[in-house]
Parts: sequence; structure tokens; C-alpha cells
Amino acid sequence: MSIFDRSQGDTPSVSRRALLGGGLTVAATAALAGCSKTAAGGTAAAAGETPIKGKKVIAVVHEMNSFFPPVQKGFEMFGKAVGWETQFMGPPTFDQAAVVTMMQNAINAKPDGLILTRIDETSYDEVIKKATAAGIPVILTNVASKGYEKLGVGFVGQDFVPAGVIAGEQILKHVTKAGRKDGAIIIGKIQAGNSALEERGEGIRKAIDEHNSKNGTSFAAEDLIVGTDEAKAIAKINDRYARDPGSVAGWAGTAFECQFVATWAKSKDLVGKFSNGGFDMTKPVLAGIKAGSIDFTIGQNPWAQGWVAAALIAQQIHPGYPSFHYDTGAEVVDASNIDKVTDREAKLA
Amino acid sequence: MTATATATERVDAAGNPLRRLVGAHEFGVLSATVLLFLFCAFGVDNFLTSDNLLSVAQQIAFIGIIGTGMTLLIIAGEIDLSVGSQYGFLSIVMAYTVTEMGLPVLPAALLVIGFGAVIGLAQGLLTTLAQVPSFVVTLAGLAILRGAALLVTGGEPIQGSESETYHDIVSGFPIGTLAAQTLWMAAVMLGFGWVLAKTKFGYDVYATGGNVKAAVNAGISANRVKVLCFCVTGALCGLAAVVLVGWLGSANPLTGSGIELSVIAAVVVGGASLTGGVGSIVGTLLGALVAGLIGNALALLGVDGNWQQVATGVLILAAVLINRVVAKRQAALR
Repeated sequence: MSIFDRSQGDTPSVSRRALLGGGLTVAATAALAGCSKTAAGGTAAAAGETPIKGKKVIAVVHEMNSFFPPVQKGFEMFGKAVGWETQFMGPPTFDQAAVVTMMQNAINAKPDGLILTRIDETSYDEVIKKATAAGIPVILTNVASKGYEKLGVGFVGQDFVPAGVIAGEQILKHVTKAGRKDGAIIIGKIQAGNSALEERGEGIRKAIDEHNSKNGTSFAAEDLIVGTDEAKAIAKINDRYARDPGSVAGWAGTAFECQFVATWAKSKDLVGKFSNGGFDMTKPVLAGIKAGSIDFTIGQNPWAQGWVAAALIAQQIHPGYPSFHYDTGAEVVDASNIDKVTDREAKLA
Repeated sequence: MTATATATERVDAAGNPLRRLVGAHEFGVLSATVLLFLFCAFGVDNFLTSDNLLSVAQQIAFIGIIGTGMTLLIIAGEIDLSVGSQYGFLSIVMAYTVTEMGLPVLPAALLVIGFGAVIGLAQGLLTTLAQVPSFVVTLAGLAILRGAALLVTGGEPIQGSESETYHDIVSGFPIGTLAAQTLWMAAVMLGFGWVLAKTKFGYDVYATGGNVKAAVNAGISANRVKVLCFCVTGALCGLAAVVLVGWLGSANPLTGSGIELSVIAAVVVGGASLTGGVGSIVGTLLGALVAGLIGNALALLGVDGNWQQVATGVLILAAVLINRVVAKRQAALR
């Protein structure tokens, strides 16, 4: 029976309902207060008095997927060190308008600095211009997309096409080592419409084309959008493989898709039947390299994408230096350096 | 008390504006909205500024426009789970027709709105004539249309028109910082609010959702009413797509992912019953406003992203429960 239902026998007293209503209000308020406290916690261990102490800086990213926790940690650690109030947010799944809405809300909070991702060439420009017109320093992180320079903002992130070329060269190294001279190299994507992933894919294709023309091989690039939901991703990977198992020479993700390939390959006892690699240093990706189910990954220093972005905002706030492009690199991680990298990444936990 | 006396009291109560307000079906969600607004006004820095409030109104425009169609459908006893995919697919069609096919903006916009109505027509006919539940038909539509958007674009965003006039009409600021998107939402909601409250079609929608057999016995073509509601929903997804592409200057094949849940939540928080026959445009507006205010307040309060999800869920639940408590009190007062 419903606790609010008057028609069920004894009538609930007003005080009971008032208690419930009050309790609910308290719970909601506590949720808000608790959250606010968490967000403002960064000020607790503030550094000594500096011109940038006590500033409020907000980061809005396009999707809160498993790539971003180290970015958030880097951002928050810098904020804590200089006594900032930090806030990191993004929608649970990507939606253009939802991201713009969050950015607008962030501007309305009147922050002292904004760190944003710009994953296409037009959608976020109006809101970025609004922020800069309001005198809020803005820096882009992780993804900037073509033409970001016209907005007068800096960018902390990877140069995606060259990084894609490195990923392409890596997958070809592993594929040819296995004796293949042809076959499909599946370019996995966790998301459609993300310029960073498209550019990495472009780099991988470029590497494949160059390799084919230099070595007389006939590898073919093939796109596969798998999404970020692991179960759905594995089903798509399996379907592609089942269509023509012999045709697959390797899997080259543009993000952390290789972890899905590794999970699927292990479940089907297919580890070692083809090469597998991609980008990012999520825990499953590093574990996969250690276990041999992933051949390589290309790191882009997510920590720096939070920490350095915050540092550039800080120098823009005081003394006022303009931001610039900071390339967070393309670090190749494979069996040769996995232990060292795993130890380093564990420090972010 | 005699029956005559009771009837007289009812007439008096109905004539009293305050009693009418308290007795209105939307009073619950209105109370929740007012409570939330007061909390934000007194407890959230930078909330009570015209820029921020108008920004919230702008943010709920897409939920409001699509939610208007969804309100009609839910009142008629049906549901459309494909609205997010329709909105995304039609955004792609809008950008594609303008940039790839070179169509002028106005014909392209009309084409997109018409295309939305045709998608609604197809889903409506499958639901009514083939008697497949709308839940199933539109779930299939959700997958088909999202896939179509990805196929057309190859997964990449498409540039929209660079026309300043188009941008100004759909997303400019005609009065101060009041965004055009808000005016589009207001026009749609006022129009369909009037249709629901004052026209025979509106009466038929409520009758169909309230008791379909009784409606048919009363001479109402329930299937026709339902199909029309699907068409309206599709057309409004088209309108939202036209506004979005003009605003952002591009269309992304993932546009609208998951928005169907926000739209349905706004309609239900607004007091509509998923079993049909109950609901209103005002309620949906208030439902959308509750969601918009919560998102805005959490951002202004400095709440981190993952906590925002939790707090949003808790606050929506709180709003629905407040709505329900008020509704029960109303029932007791009647």
C-alpha cells in the first residue's frame, strides 16, 4: 500500500506526512550541501596567500567517460595546491546541446576561469565567445577541433593526426611481425562525431597507405563505431569478426576500444590471433598490455590535460599571460615499458 | 449535510480563484517548482539574475518543444521513445539539405518539419493499424533513425548554414537577453495548450487516452487522433532540429541521445499519467522547468558532474513526491 494513500484503512497522520516531506527536503538539501562541500573541498588545503588563491575554476567536458578521471585529478590537484574552488562536470553520455547547456551554466556561475572541450568546429563557439566576452579566461583541453585559434584560446592536448600515424605504425609493426601482408585493420571508435577520434583515424589510414606503398602490402582500413557500453561494444566486435574471421589482421582503436577487443578475444580464446592496440591508459588497457591481450597503447598524458590546463589558466588570471598550445604528446606504451607506466599511473588512484 | 448543500459548496469552491488554483491538476508540480525556485533564489549565488534565468529558459526550449508533442501522445495513451533519434536524424537532414544539397533554409526547414510528420505518420499507422504497441514501434524507430543519422554522416558532424538571418530567427536575442529558442518554445506551447484546452481535437485526445472504448462509442476516431498526435510529435522534433542547427551551426549524428528520457520525465513530473487521459502543456512546461532549474542550481552550487547525476535523481524524485502529496491533499479537499 502506498504510504500516501488515504483510502487504505487508517488515515496517516499529518505529522507523519510532514515528517516524510521534511525528511525528503532535508535529504535533498543534504545531497546538495554534501555535493557542494565535496566540490569546495579543494580550498581546505589552500596554499599561502597568492593573487590566484580562492579563485573558482570550472571544467566542462563533453562526456564523463573513463578517460577523464586522470584529467579531473590533475585539475583538482593543481586547484588544491593553489587554493582554488574547483568543479569538474560533463554529461554521462555525449549530447551536443547538453554540453552547451552545461557550459552556459558554468558561465552563469561567474567563474574566474573555464576549461572546456571543443569536439567540433562550430557548436561550442558561441558559448566560448560569450565566456571570453565576459572576461572569463578559457582554455581548451583534450579536444580543440580545427579553427580553435580564431577564438583566441589555448589548447592542452594531443596533436591527433600525428598521434594517429604513430598508432598506425605500431599496429602495422605488430601485424607484419605476425606474418600478415594483407587484411583489414579495424579502426575502432567509441563515439561518432568526435573530431579527435576522426583525426586519429585519419592518421592511422595515412600510416597504412604509406606502409602499403612502401612495402607492397595490401592492408585495408575499416571503421567500426562500437560505443562506450562494453556489452554492446563486444557484440559489435564479435559481429564484425564473425562476418569474415580470416580478413581481420588487427584492431586499431582511436580511443580505449582495445580493452573491449581484449575482453572479447579472451572470452573467445582468440588472444594472439590478431594484433590489438589503441589509445589511452585506462586501467583495463594497461592490464591488457601486461596480460598480452593488447599489444600497445598511445598515451596522451591525461594528467597534464587537467594539470597543465589549470596552470595555463592560472597564469592567464595572474599575471595575465595568454595561453598557448601545449602538446601532451603520444607516448607509446607496450610490453617493454608497461611496468614503469603502470607504477606511474597507479599514483593517480 | 444535504446533497443540495454539497452541490452549492462545490459551485462556490469552483468560483473561488484560489480554490481553483489549489484544485488545479498542476498545483503539485507548481508547488515543487516554486519551492525549488525559492531555495535557489535564497541559497544559490548568481541564480537570481536575469541572464541566468533567461539562460535556463533557453536551455529547456528543446525539451519544451519536443515535450509538447510527447504530452499529446501520453494524454492519448501512447508514447514515443524515438524522439531523441528523430531530433538527431532530422538535425542531420536539415544540415545536409542546406549544405550538401544547397537548398535555401526556409524550404529545407519546411521539408524537415514535414519529414518529421511523415516519420510520425509511419509510426502512428504501425501502432494503430498494425496494432503493435507504440513502445515497440518507437523503440525500433529509435534504433533505425539513429543508425540512419550515422549512415548519412559516416559518424562525423555536418556543417549547417552560415546564414545570419537563419541564426537570428531561431537563436538570436530579439529582446535583450531573451533567446529566440525560448520564444519558439513559448509559441509552440501556447498554440498546443490552446488546442488541447479549447478545441474538439483536444477533447478527443483526452477522451481517447481516458477511455478508448468510450471514446470510440462516442463517435471519436481514436486511431485518427493517435496518428495525428504522432505526426505532431514528429513535426515538433523537426522544428527542434531546425532551431538546433541554426543555433549551433552544425549537426552531430549523436544529437538527442537520451533526450527521450528527459522529455518523458518532464511530461510525467508535470502530472501526466502514463496510462493516458491526464496531463497538460502547462504541467510539461513546469516539469521541464524543474529539470532545468535543478541542472542550473547544481552547476551554480559547484557540484561535480557525477554528483550532479545523483542529486538530479534525488531532486526529481522529491519534486514528484511533493507533487503527489499535494495531489492527495487536493483530493481530500474536493
